[in-house]
Amino acid sequence: MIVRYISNVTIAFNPFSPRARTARLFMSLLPPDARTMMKVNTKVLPRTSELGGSIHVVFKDGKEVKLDTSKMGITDVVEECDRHSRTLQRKDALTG
Amino acid sequence: MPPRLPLPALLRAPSTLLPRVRTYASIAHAPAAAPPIARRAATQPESHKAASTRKTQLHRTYLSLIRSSPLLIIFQHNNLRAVEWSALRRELKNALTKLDAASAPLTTINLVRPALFSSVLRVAEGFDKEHRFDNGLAGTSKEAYKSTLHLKETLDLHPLLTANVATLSMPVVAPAQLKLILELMFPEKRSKKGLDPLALSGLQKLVLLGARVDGHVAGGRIGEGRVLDGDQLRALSQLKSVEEMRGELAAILQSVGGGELVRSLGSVGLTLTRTVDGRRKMLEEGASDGKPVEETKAE
Repeated sequence: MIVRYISNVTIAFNPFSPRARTARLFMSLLPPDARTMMKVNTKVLPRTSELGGSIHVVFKDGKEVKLDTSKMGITDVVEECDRHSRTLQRKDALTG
Repeated sequence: MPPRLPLPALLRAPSTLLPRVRTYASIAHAPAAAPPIARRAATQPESHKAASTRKTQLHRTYLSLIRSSPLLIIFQHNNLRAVEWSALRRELKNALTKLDAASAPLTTINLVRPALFSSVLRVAEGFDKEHRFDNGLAGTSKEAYKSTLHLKETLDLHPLLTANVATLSMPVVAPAQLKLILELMFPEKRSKKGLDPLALSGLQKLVLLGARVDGHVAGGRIGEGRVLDGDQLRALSQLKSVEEMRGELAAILQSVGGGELVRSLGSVGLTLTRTVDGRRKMLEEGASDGKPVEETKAE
């Protein structure tokens, strides 16, 4: 996953729901020094919460991606985030 | 602190390995039939997979971890560096030693393999709960696996055990220690002051998931695991210790009038004695008439 262009991540999940898996895996994809590069918020939802998990990513150019990860796989989530990161990467490469 | 678990029967009785038989080749007579080669040492419990494999060893480690810890906190760790782990462990050890030097070294952090741990948890919850070792089958045996497979769907802790999971096991359910651990490792707002910066960056990557409390706090029975979420765990940490609560109860009873309570508790026995005594007198009177009740029954 390309994390260079992310400025803010909020991850919320209910640990007692099997649908929290994707959000939790997303959290584990952030590199060890992620907290020096971006702002990471984790929110543990109460046990009775209906929502399995959700992530909210803000990129450095201001674009926001909000996903309900309850019914998504981790590859889909990474793909969603990387799509915008790649355009930023290309822009970066062209401007030098 | 004495160990909570009784030793299984196999380990209690010293048993010997198969004797080594030395034979020489000879033409004169066929050598005596050699004893069959043991697949496992007699001291080793039965296991589904080979006893020396890593999975079996981890299974046994996890099972003993679950059985021997009354309070097991489960949390997620996200890419901590080795130095951060060691700083965190050091801070935790120092803080706990200040509080209670005896139980501090027994409070440990273990990084576990979630799927394997989940499977072991099923065995701990559903097979040989009190660890009596009655049927002679170990937790690693095939039977243990098969008989607990149905718990896969119903176990509350099962969804917790995905991604990167670590456990923190405590030797006692002590709210004071728990409070300290929660404040240090999973602070709600601001982290504790004066921490090692490495530990500080490490604990930002920890997420508290839940906990398992095994047995009765005062009674010490095992085999009845209950699941707590983060909020319940924090509520538990705010409680007083069992000794303190007992002391308070005793003080209340003394001040409110323990005599009254003793009298009302004792009155049940008193009335029962009176009733039985009255009945006895009635029977005796009947016997003096020449017709005891028991004899008429016998005839």
